Amino acid sequence: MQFIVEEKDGVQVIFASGVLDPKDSSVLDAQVKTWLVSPAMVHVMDCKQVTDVRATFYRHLVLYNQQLKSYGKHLFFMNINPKFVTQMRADGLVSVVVTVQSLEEAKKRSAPSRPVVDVEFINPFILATRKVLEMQAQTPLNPGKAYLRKPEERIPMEIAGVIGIQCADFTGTISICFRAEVFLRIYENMVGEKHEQISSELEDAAGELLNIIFGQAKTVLNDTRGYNLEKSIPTILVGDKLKLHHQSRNPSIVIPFESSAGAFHLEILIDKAGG
Amino acid sequence: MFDKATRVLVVDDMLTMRKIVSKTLKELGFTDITEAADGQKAWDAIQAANPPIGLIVSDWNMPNCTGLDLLKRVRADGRFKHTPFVLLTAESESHQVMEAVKAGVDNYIVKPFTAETLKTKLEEAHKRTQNRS
Repeated sequence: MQFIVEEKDGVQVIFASGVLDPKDSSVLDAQVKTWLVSPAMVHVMDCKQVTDVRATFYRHLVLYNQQLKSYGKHLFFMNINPKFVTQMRADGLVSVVVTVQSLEEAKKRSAPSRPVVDVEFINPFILATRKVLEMQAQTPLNPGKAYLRKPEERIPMEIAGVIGIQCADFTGTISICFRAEVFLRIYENMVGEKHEQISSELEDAAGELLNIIFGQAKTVLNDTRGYNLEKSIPTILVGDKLKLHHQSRNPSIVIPFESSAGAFHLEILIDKAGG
Repeated sequence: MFDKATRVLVVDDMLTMRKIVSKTLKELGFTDITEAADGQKAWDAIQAANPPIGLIVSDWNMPNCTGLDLLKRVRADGRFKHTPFVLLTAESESHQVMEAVKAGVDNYIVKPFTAETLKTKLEEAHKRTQNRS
């Protein structure tokens, strides 16, 4: 195990090589002390030359990351073998293993955190929902006033599309939720087919609508506002008396929409990364 | 614009989107439309088609063989390298557009789209194809 350090454009790049093995952890621990006092706020460990990572070595990476965080610094990994990322994520180390493609991306992602959910974040989703429903389903919308949903509040729905939101600063979900009759009317507007009930053939429409809404909002948030939201795959939930229960201390934000097909809503839940 | 008798292959893993694209193509006058539910099935259909596929409209994000993978396969095969190829995607981040252009896409449609948008994008793709061959 060897670490060669270079300062590049304000980023501390650590070129790791060989097998990252806990028996050599003293090598890392000794180096970390000097790295911490470096003026660089962003640390990138380049793992191109790493041949293996022993599972028990992760503990040292977690400690290193914690120390950096206590100094207000950020740690990213580059050129890391996807096998190791999968392994670390499976071990619950998502907040430690943040991978980047370039030093530029590391700098961008370490930019000061934004308020977790604000108008700037929500508005692109409202605009995207209006655009998608109007253009793809010929269903003009009137958005209502967004509000925080109380945990005990139950909004009736029979079908929902849910998509994960993930970036360096926060994780969460965005859901689009419909009553069956509203969904069927919107489906008819979209595809030109009238159905009396939601069959498995129709379900993917909820996911596709949400996928397009997410894609539109993500483009605005990433390209113009630097959020770096990651690509995600929607999940469809179908059933009578469907209830969304979030495993979070934060309340979710409900954005109601009115349309000629009936009312439906978007629900956004955000948690700080690692929170 | 493409001849309305052109054989069109619509590729998307989402049935709803295949239906929407096919319906819109029919509204534009196309009469010979086939569908494939993923990139691999599309590649099989392209190779087996007789008469050949004259236009491919494919989603980008699909499991296993993505629309971009399919485009690269099509462009790498001498038999199909001039086949007009239009990618449909829910995302329009600049790096994605560049990737598709480098791979030889003839046009790029961002969802949501109207019949008018699809028509315009197909016309542009047709012009590009004519200039290329």
